[in-house]
Amino acid sequence: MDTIRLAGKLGTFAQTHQRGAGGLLERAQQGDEEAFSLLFEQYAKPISNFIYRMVGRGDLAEDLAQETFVRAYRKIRTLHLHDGTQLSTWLFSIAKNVVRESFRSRRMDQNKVGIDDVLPVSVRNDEPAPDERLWNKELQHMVQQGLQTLDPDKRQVFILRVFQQCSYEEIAAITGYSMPKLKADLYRARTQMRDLLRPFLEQSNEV
Amino acid sequence: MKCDECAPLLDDFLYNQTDGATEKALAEHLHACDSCAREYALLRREQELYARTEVEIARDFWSGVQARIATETRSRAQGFAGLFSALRFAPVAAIACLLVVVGAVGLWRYFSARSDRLVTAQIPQAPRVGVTITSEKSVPETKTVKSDAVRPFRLVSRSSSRAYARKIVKPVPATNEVVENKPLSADLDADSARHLEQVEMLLRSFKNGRHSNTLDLTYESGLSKDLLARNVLLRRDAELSGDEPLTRLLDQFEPFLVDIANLRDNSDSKEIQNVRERLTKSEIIAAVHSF
Repeated sequence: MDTIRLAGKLGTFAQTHQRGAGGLLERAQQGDEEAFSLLFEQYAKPISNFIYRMVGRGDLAEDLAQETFVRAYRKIRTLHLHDGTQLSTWLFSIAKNVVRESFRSRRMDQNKVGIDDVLPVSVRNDEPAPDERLWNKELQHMVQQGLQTLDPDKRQVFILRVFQQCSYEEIAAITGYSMPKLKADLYRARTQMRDLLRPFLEQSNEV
Repeated sequence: MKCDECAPLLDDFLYNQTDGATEKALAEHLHACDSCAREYALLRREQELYARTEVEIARDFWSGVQARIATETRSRAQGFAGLFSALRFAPVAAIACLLVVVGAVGLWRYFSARSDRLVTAQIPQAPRVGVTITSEKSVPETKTVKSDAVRPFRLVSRSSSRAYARKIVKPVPATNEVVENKPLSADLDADSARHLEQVEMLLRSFKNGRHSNTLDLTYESGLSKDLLARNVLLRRDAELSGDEPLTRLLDQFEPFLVDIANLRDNSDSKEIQNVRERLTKSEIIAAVHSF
């Protein structure tokens, strides 16, 4: 079943779903929609999160995330994973391209994020207390606003590294950037985001 | 390890992406160096904050994806159907063309034969020269081999193309190890195979994951409950059908599925670590993978 070679350690998510996916992949490539769902449904949340953080709007993010999977369905028949390329890498590459096209076509003002654009967290029975919920919402808003102040290259690298915990090799494969550029972009992005997060870091210290 | 060597590796260490030797060296350095330890602590707190901002997707997200795929597939099929409807007059048109072609060829032969007769008539004394054609040239015999692998292209419906594709694709085990370990009685049905795949994915994800936030546990706990219910049914079926290897394997899953299902958002990391260590020791993941 393991015909796909792994290149180094993967982020938790990719590693989980890479092994054991060989049979499902073949079936999905033959047009089996059920196999496609079994294989890719687990990527729905990471892809949605990635796109949401890139574009900053919940409604648009959902639409683009769905578009990502539809394109994956179209392209999967011709997919050949080789030289350690991962399924997650391929999918994130599609997502990256969908976002880029969206930026071009919609000519969004990437720096404006309204408080109402923040995606809601799903309601659970053990929801946090109201003041904690508000704090989380403010944090989310601050993080999202901070991300929008990063230029798209740095934002992309930061999201893949910090939120998806992709390795540098995976990020290089998804974005096409060189290692030195990745590391430099990540360092600058972290520094910038740290400044914005400082009040929350101090508050979380007090808790 | 020195500080300038340690600093660039801190986020690899945080995400569990270092090899054993580097991890050990980093851990020792962080134990000894306050400055790097503070930087690492800051990285961890940042990561915890970022983890709080993870968003959930809508419940009907995936059904939206499936609906869009289905719409696209339908419109493609309608395109083909449209093509067919446009071609419904094709047989009539084809016959008409054929008649025209046959008529044209017939007329051409008639007129060319007529002109030959005229020429012959003009040279009545011309000697007749017979030409003998030897037919010794060897025509290489071509063997027509019917190959199942090569078929002429034709438009087929999706369902029959799927059946066709299934027919010619032979599942090949990736390694000999898998073949040797295949249990005697197991030709797994689709439900059991799918269940084993999903359990393997869940256990692997849980074993390898870093649970620094509570949202992951909720998802895995819920999934574990669903898989546990299915596991019980499949184990019962396997027992009834006398499939001992499958019964044993499914039996081994249940304690882990129960433990993961019982983990809550306020479970401490020791509990989680305990389950992970048992998963590692039992080698259950390797067992299901080779099954």
